[in-house]
Amino acid sequence: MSQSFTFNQRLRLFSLETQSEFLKVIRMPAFALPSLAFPLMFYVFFGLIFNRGGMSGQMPAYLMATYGVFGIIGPALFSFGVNIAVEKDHGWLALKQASPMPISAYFVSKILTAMMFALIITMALFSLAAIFGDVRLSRSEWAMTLLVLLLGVLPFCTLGLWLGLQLKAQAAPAVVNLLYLPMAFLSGLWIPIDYFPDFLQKAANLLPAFHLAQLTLKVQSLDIGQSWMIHLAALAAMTAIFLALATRAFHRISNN
Amino acid sequence: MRPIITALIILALVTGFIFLLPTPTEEKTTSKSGKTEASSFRLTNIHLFDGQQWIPNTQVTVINGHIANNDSQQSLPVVDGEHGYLIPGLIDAHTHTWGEALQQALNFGVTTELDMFTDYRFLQQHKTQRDNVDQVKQADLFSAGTLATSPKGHGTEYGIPVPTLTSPDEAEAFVQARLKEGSDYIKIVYDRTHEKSHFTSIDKATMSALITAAHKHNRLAVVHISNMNSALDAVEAGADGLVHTFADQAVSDELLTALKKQNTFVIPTLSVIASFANQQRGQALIDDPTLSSLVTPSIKQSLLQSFSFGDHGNHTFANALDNTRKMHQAGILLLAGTDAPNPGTAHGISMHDEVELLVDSGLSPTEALTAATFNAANAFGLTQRGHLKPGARADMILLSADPAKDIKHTRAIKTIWKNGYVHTIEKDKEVSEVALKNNGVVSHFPDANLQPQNGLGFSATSDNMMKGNSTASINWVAEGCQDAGALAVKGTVGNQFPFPWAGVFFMLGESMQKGVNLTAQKSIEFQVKGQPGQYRLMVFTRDSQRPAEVGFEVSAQCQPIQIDFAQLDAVDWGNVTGFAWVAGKQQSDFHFTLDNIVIN
Repeated sequence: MSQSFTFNQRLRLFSLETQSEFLKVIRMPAFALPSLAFPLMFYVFFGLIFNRGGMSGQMPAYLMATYGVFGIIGPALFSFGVNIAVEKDHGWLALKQASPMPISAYFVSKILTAMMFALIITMALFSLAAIFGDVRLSRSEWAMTLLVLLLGVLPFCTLGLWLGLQLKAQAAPAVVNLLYLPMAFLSGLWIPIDYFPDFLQKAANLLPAFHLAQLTLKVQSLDIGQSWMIHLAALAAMTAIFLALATRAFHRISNN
Repeated sequence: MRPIITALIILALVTGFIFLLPTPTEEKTTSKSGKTEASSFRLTNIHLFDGQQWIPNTQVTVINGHIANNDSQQSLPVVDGEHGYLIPGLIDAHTHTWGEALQQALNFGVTTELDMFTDYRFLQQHKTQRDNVDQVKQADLFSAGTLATSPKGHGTEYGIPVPTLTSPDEAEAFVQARLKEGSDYIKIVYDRTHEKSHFTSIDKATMSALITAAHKHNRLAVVHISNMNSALDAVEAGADGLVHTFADQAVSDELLTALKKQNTFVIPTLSVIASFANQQRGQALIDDPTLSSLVTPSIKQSLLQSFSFGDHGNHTFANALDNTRKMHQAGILLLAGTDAPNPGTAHGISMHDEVELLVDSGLSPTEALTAATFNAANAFGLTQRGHLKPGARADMILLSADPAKDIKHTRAIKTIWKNGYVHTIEKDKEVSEVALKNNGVVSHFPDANLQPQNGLGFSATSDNMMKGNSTASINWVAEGCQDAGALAVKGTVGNQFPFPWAGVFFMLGESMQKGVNLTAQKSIEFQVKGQPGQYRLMVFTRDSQRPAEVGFEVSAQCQPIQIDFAQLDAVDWGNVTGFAWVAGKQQSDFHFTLDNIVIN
């Protein structure tokens, strides 16, 4: 069926789906507010007020990167993890599958929405850091940080997708939070990973958020010094694993 | 097409936003925090020692007081390193720091001091400085604060009230109290054989409990020992480091194995052990021409002091060197530390002796540099110090000669940067009350006695006085420039001293400590002829480390030269002690005739 759409039709379809998805999450204060406010609030407290002089004055720049990661993970995990679980249990996903719209539009709109949120959060963080944190980066460093953060949404979308397809609607918010917050902490998003004991630093290698944080910090040479290829490979591998798991879960649901 | 347009609009807005964000180059004009671009620059034409290895013919990029990647695209001021040797700022891993110690240390290129016992309030005062990259005039401080010792043990004899402990069950509370005072690590004094000394000591169980408590709070525990058996106990108790080596006997294989197995580091502090053994190395440091201009009366006093209990002889000192050599050969991590300001040592200057002593005990000069930089930072977990890789704090020293060839070249300091800012050594600016007389006329050299109308007189000068191989001589000649009589100078410029010079020195003040106030004058004029080429006029001021200099051209005919003081804005014109006319660096044999010198 989907073969019959022209390019323009398809574009309009994806665009409409994205618009309505974006409108939906904006109208869900329980999702939009914490997603936008928490990273900014934490950054103001821990990066600008309390630890200003930490890390030889680099703390505002360092935490701008890590709270950026924290900020972009939230919408990705929740929009996929929680919303898909809910929509799946309410039969909305089944309806979408039955409609003539290609099901990819459903997922792409969610990815684009997560990216829009990532963009808003990152721009707000940049503004705070530049105005109140005296953070000064070269133009290419600002742009690269933004780009890494926007693309960094993808692995967490796939993680969220798998969780959303796997979990019951009632369980999803709790499980996602249980994953999100400890992962953020253990990946050094709140406190620089350098301050952690050695074994925790090593253990962080298992977490996707750690690799994304290191990639983002690499732009400013504030990372712990591993090669960017390691982080990129780890993220790619994790994305592939989550995607495989999500596909399996999706087929199981579709076949039921 | 609407979605594409929306996407393009978003892209344009984001791009616009990125262009609004501040960049470091804009900071020059917009920053209100008092930061200037002075801590951002590119230092080119250098040989770099990054703390572990040498990288010849390279450059470093410093952005806001930190080393950045060289591929940074930013446009930065370029500083020519003139093929000098750049090493990280030195870390003295064993000091006792108070008063002016941190300022003094930085003057000699020591940018971080790891203190092993001081008044914890001094630590609290100076702790915050190390967290930022502001322009500062002193080294950064990390400290054990109050040490852990027994009642009447070593450490209680200095007149500062010191809390003590006697049993293992006091250890946890003791360590907690130190951390509350701000201690960065715990220093423990231990002596198994204290019955032989006039100090008491905590017992091994208490030391062990202190180390365990320190580790529980994620702090290092380092132990002061002065003999091998105590060292063995300390390592067995789990010490992270020993803050001295020992000289009572040769280090046993058992101890070497234990040190290696537990990764215990050792700070041999050969400087203080040399002083203990009456090696009298202080005078040599004072006499070293590359350091002498920085030696203040208090440094001199400290370097010339000795321990009161007499000569322990060369034998024990040889033991200390041997033990250090064996530890090095066994692969034990060694850190350079001086124990300044104990008798015979002083802050800053003694680090240049300590690295030499480490070379004497078998380390290569590069290994000694690593001990004085990277190893110390590594052992104490200071990630931004002791190296010059991207991310490091721009604490660094530019040397004019290669320290890998001769460790003494750590003294050939051209420039010190602290937090990316050039460190200039400030002395009290005291304007002399002596003014010029006779309308500023120095001399027309009418007769052979060369006596000037202002100032003390003329003399030949060259780096020969600093063991260089340049030569110079002066004499009166009858043929002047306009009138009869002039001063003739000739000589050769050698190549042995790092900063060679040869020419004539004119002493304007009554001594090098007391100059003349020239703030009312604007220029110095003279006439000169001689071997054509570029020559230099040097201006000496009270307490200045090195004279300021400005070039001038000499031709075969007499020519008037006027040098405006405004050209030399860094000179303290309130206290000028003398001038020198010297040959350029490129010349070898030279001669010139000087006449009609007037300061207007």
